[in-house]
Amino acid sequence: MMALRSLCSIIAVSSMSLLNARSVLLEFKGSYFLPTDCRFKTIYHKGTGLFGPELTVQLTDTTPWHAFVSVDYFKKWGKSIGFCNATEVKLIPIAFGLKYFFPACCEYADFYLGLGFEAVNVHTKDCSPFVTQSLSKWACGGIAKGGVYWYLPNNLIIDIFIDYSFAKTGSGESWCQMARGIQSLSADVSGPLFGAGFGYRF
Amino acid sequence: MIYKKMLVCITALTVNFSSLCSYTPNTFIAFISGFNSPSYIAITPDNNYAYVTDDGSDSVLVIDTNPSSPTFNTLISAPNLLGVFNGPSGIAITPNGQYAYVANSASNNVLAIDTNPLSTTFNSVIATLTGPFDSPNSIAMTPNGNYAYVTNAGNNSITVINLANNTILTTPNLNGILNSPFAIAITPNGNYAYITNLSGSVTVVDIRINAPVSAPGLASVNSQPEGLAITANGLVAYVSDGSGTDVTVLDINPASLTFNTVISTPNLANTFDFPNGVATTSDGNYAYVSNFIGATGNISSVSVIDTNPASPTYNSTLNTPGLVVASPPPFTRFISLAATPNARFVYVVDGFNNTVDVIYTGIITPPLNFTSCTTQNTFLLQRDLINYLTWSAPTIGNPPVTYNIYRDPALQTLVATIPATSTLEYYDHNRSPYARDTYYIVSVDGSGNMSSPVSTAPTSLCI
Repeated sequence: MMALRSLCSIIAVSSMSLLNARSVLLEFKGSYFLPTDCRFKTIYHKGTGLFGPELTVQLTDTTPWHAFVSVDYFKKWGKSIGFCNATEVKLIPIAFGLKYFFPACCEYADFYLGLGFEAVNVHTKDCSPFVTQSLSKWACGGIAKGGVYWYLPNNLIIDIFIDYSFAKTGSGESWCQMARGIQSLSADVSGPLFGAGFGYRF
Repeated sequence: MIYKKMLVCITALTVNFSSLCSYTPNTFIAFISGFNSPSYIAITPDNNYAYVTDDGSDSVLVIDTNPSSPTFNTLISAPNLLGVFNGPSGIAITPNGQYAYVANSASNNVLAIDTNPLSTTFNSVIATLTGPFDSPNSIAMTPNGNYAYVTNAGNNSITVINLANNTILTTPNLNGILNSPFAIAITPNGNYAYITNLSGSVTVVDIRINAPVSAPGLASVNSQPEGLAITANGLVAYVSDGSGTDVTVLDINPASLTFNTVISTPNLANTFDFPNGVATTSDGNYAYVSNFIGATGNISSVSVIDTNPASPTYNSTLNTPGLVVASPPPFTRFISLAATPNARFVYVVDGFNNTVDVIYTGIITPPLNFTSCTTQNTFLLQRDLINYLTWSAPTIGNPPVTYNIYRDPALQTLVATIPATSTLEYYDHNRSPYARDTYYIVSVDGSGNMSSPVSTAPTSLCI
């Protein structure tokens, strides 16, 4: 919670200080997350939608470097491996980093590549009386971004992007004897995201 | 070992025994009347009927021995078996339960009874076998059901019947080898027959070649060998001394250095009172011996021998006060007895009081095929390691009401109690991969009696 609060503060301060810069892009994006981890895929099967806002701010009025920060939300039901108990996972990836804008073929589009840090809150609800029914862990890693912004009339923008998130929770396959012999597992929540965003260019 | 937790039971012959009624182990629970000098008894492999030779009426009478039947422990109507014999003596039922063969001693023949309840000739004599019979008195079947061996008290010989076609085999080596035969039993592997001779010896026949086996160690077993029964493992035979107070134990294990000799059993000496019938239970743990006279004179009793080699009281008699018939009736005389194949009951023939008395054994045996393996239930962030246990119901002894699973051999740490009516499996969750789990399971009957445990340790992954 403290981390989230700190992150929000950073975002707010950054946004305020950069409001006078040339370009501020605020978009709401949706993407399709394709997990790569075998266990994740077995339990939750194919990917699903990931939604959330992203703020991109040009660092100075002449530089191609932009800072970005984003928060997303993912939720899916699945079945455990073995006894097919119902289980729900919620992912809240919070990312920040830098984007580099490349001049495009025309003035109403920009390509970009980006790289940043990512923290993913992994929350599960497991419907079995023999495990901890609600668990929450943080996965840390990074995110690579690539895409193109299309600048529409009236300062509207469309973002077409492909991201790759790589994040894994800590505490590997250890046995916690204090918790009734339940084995704690690390979760790999990496995978590509294909999506689009729609927003406003300040 | 039976752990006793006894409950008083009212005799309820018309109710489902296993679910509603519980008796004290090793007590008489019924006295079935309607006989006239009954002598020998045989019980069908399905445990549902007992056939009793009734010398006084020249009949074979049939008892319903199915605890689930409304006529449990009563005589059932079998008019075609009344008065059609002549001095019926020994009786044996084929392993498939289809036929009973009766030594018709006064007519020197053997009669076959159809004992298949689904047959149109059920409980009728369907064959009369004649041949070299001379006062036939006892019969035993080979375990494969191919042959019946009949002792002839008149000429001290053995006659072999081919049960496939009810013909008599020519067995010259079995003529005149006995000396006042009384009882015959065949080893579970079907290799040997043991015959008690009232003269004091036990004769051994290799029934693979139908020839006697030299057994000098059995030339003098006791003063008057009568009843003989072989344990389920086929290693030991118990022989009653009909004119004395002993039961003699014979080593009949061919792999033993003392094969076909008498085993010293001081705890079985001077313990009985003219014992005659002997019956071993199919769980291998007990032998029931009928005492013709009984400890105090005009009463009879049944003694129970612990025949479990692993028991601290091996080859000793149990304290069974419930098996002494005091009064009434005052002049009980037990003649013979037989245990049901599932070992739940022992039927004792009272030749003087003209009853067949029923003993509830209280035997309960552990479940069969107790196995285990490990499996997992995996979520994204955690995993439950599970040991999966499965077993099947025992076929011998009282039907269990529940099964108790323990984590220790002392049966102190109860893991679970599983009703016998549910699926016979258990998932033990939240196990550690570092633990070396071993599980012990016992059967528990309606009175809380527990069987001995059997164990399993999961070592492999479930498939």
